[in-house]
Amino acid sequence: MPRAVDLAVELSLLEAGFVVVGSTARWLVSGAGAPEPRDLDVVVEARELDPFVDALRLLGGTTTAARLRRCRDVRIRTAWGPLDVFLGPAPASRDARVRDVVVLVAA
Amino acid sequence: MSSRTGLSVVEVGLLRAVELLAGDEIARCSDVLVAAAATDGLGPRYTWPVLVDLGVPWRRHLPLVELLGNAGSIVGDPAADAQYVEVRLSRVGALALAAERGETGPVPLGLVEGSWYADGPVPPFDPERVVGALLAAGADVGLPAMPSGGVVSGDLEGLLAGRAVRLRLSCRIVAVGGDLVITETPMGVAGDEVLQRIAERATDHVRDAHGLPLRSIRRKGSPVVDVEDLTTMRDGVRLVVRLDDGADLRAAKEWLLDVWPVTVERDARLPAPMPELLDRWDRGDGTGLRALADLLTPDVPPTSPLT
Repeated sequence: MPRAVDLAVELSLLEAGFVVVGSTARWLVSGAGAPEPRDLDVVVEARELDPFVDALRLLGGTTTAARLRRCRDVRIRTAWGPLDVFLGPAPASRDARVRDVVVLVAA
Repeated sequence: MSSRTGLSVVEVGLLRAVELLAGDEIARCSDVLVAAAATDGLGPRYTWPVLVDLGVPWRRHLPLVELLGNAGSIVGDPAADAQYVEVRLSRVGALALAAERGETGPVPLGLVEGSWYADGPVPPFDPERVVGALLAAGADVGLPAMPSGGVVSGDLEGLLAGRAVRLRLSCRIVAVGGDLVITETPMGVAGDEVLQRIAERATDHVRDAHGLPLRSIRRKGSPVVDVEDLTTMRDGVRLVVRLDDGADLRAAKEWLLDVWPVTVERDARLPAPMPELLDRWDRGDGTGLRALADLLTPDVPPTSPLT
């Protein structure tokens, strides 16, 4: 399992609200045929920002909600690899089930 | 890039400023940066990291300057301010400038160092292999070799054939007793962060009914008991990962290699297939290449302990 997917699972387990986009979303949708992602890209809505940052801190990601509001897109380093957070309206999404955990993925 | 050395305009400008100010002695780095700015127009905030990269052995196989003072460390400590560090040309740096002036033939520093040290796409190779291949008109320089050490894997055949590839760079991990020790880190990966991320990956939290963390616990499946940094400037990287008694070392190593940045990915592409790069490299009269080969040969042959 790519690290980026593990990170999405960990964040979902911590009840962070986000939608996976980019290469990890493609990998989750199309399976092992897609190129293995090397980072995780997520879209977080403004109302989900504080709990998302709280969850991220539990995984060692150091950022603040204020910084995310200011910069809108921020790269954060974690033990599961880089995480790119985009603040904005979430795209249409669908469920992807990974090890019995539901992860929201861009449709 | 200079065709005679593979160095950038900024790098050559810094070397010239070091030579101008230090001569046979040493110069203050802050003075060198001011002198270089007079010719290249780049201020010290931009050129100080470049000068540091020219001098630290975990960024270049063949440092072009010697930095005297705190030039940072391989585990991620930053260099001191330029006013507190002194500099002089290394022997390879002096050879590079001689090549730039046309006093000797071209020197294949670009083939050796690549551009990864500046976040470019070209990985570095072992200097002795590169020089040996050029001297023998051979086509084999071996696999990419990072000055910091570490392990390179992935589509290495594709890389040497000139294709764009994604490589995996990993820490070198050895078993010592019942523990694992990281003895080399990939170029650009700070040992401090390696330890921090291992600790984070090994940690979970007990949370209350509202999801708030109450206390830290070990993450399920983590074999790590503790991490300790025993790195020294003299002995190099030594990041000790203490494991459970009787832990399966192979499984623990796999677990460790999955932690970012114990393993990182990096895009790589040579400007042409390696045999073509070697073949078309302009050696001039060969004097620069031979001079570099001489510098790579130890001055004093090893002596037998019995003599």
